[in-house]
Amino acid sequence: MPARSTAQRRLLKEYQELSRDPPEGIIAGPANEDNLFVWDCLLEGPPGTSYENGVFSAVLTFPKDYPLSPPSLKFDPPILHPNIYADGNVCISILHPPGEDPNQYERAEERWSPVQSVEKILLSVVSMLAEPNVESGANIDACKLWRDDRKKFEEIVRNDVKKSLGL
Amino acid sequence: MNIPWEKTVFPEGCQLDSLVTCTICKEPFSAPVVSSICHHSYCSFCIRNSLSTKNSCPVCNVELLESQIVKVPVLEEITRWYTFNSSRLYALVKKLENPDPKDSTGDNAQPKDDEIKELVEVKFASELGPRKTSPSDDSLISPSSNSKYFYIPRKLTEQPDTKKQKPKRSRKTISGFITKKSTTSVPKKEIENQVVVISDNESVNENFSDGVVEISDYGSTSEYFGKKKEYHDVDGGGLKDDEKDKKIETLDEEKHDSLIVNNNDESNLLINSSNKKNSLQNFLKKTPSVLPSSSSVLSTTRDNSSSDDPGSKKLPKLNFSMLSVPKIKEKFKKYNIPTPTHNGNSKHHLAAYYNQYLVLWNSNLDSNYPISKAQISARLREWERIQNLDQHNQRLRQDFGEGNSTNNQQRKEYNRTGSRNWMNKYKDEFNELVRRAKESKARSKAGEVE
Repeated sequence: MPARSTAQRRLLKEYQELSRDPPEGIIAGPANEDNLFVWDCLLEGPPGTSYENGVFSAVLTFPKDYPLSPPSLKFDPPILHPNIYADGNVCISILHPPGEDPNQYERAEERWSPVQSVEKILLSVVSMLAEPNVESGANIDACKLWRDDRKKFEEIVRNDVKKSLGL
Repeated sequence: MNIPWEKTVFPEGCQLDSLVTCTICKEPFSAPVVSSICHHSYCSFCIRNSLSTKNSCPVCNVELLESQIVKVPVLEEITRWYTFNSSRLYALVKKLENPDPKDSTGDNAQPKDDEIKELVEVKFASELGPRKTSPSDDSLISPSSNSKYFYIPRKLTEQPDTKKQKPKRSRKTISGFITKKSTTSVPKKEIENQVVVISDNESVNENFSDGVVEISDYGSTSEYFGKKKEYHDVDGGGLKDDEKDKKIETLDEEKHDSLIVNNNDESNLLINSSNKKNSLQNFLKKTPSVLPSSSSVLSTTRDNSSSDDPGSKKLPKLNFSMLSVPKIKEKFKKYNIPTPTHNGNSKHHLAAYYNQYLVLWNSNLDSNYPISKAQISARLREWERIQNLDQHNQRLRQDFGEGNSTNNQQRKEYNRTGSRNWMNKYKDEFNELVRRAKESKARSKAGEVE
């Protein structure tokens, strides 16, 4: 086993904490023991939304200088959501490093800082599923559908849910 | 959090636990510092590293410069005390919860369900390895929890010994902090007590510190316990304690001279004597309670030591856009920085290398228990290795290309096995490719000649 870098030690620590005291509806951990920088996550769709009962898988990819830089989160397979790009990448303020804000939408304190954690990211993503932020959408088609044709939007999402359950 | 206090009858324990935990690395503070602007605390290394990318406080985002952080020696002492004693406190609380008439032997014979769970957790933690090699870190799993959770027969037979010696030592440690009497000679004794504690810790450090241990892996539990055992031996040697008691007595009698003698003694134990000016011992000596005459003697000796070794000062930041590569190398020589092993000529790498060394070096100066220069170099090497690994991976990823299914397959395989295994596996094919390339090159050259 190779010696561990600052990033690896912190990732191990977070993994231990997550497995000791997991938040409801969230499972996350390194995809394999040799590479701590790629995590597989399973997120439960928040109840009371069209994502309810779905179990969505996502991949967290950490940079080598974590926690100085934020990880990226990608839903695989992609799901329909105003703040998730068509390829599955999640666009959420906590995953954006401070200082780089092209749209001026996000307040600095909402963005990534080394004191954030995987748990906070995943909790934010679950609450993002429940309450999309259409103001700074990532998937324009999803935004339009959500605003103009909510019924169709929900129908597609429910299909995603069924797919996620393998039905 | 290191100890699951919230599951005990004393859930308030987790408050102290989180108070001594750095919000960046999520581990107990090492060389804690505080922001003089917003008063948030971090490990010196963590915040300096973070400030090297962005000049703001990670918690409250207020603008913060490296010059605006101040070290907090007392917080380091509190953290050390907690990391040394938390598992024993936890064991005591657990005992209060389920009073067991058969004492610990009964515990071991039939562990309860939640204890089995903990056993798994602690074992998990140790298998994945403790991170740094400082005694405080290794003490996260205390001797008592070792014998309780790991069922190592040899440890169990030793247990009475460790039990006898452990309280003795810790009582002394505490007395160094809390003894309070109004006579003027007593603060002095306090300091001397403190000296013993520090040198004790340093001698423990020496066991862990020879650079090799620093970067060696803690993969197997047996190896880890091998080190723990070393720690016990040093820690609990009855003879040593007696010697130290004697030392205290003599130190109390002869005043001025004894301090110098003690300094010499300590330098034998310390790995890097130049760093001792940062130890708590000296921190306490600066206080007015010390006799004026002895402090003047001290200040001269301290000045001497710092002039002998220019390396005990903080390193400055360099403006790399103004420096050429040879100039940077000159600076490296001037500050006595180990030369980089890889990519020695890239300015970008040299700058990152220097900055990492700067963070390691300057944060080490904030510690009451600084590590040796060899250890800093070892950490720097480790950082360098990971940087190169990163570059290597990136290059590999580029070579594979994106989106191609067979390439994805290869990448997955690479990720699974790691670069070395991958190289071993495909070595023959790789060599075959090289051979063919050479052949075709030779052929084309031959063609040109003709």
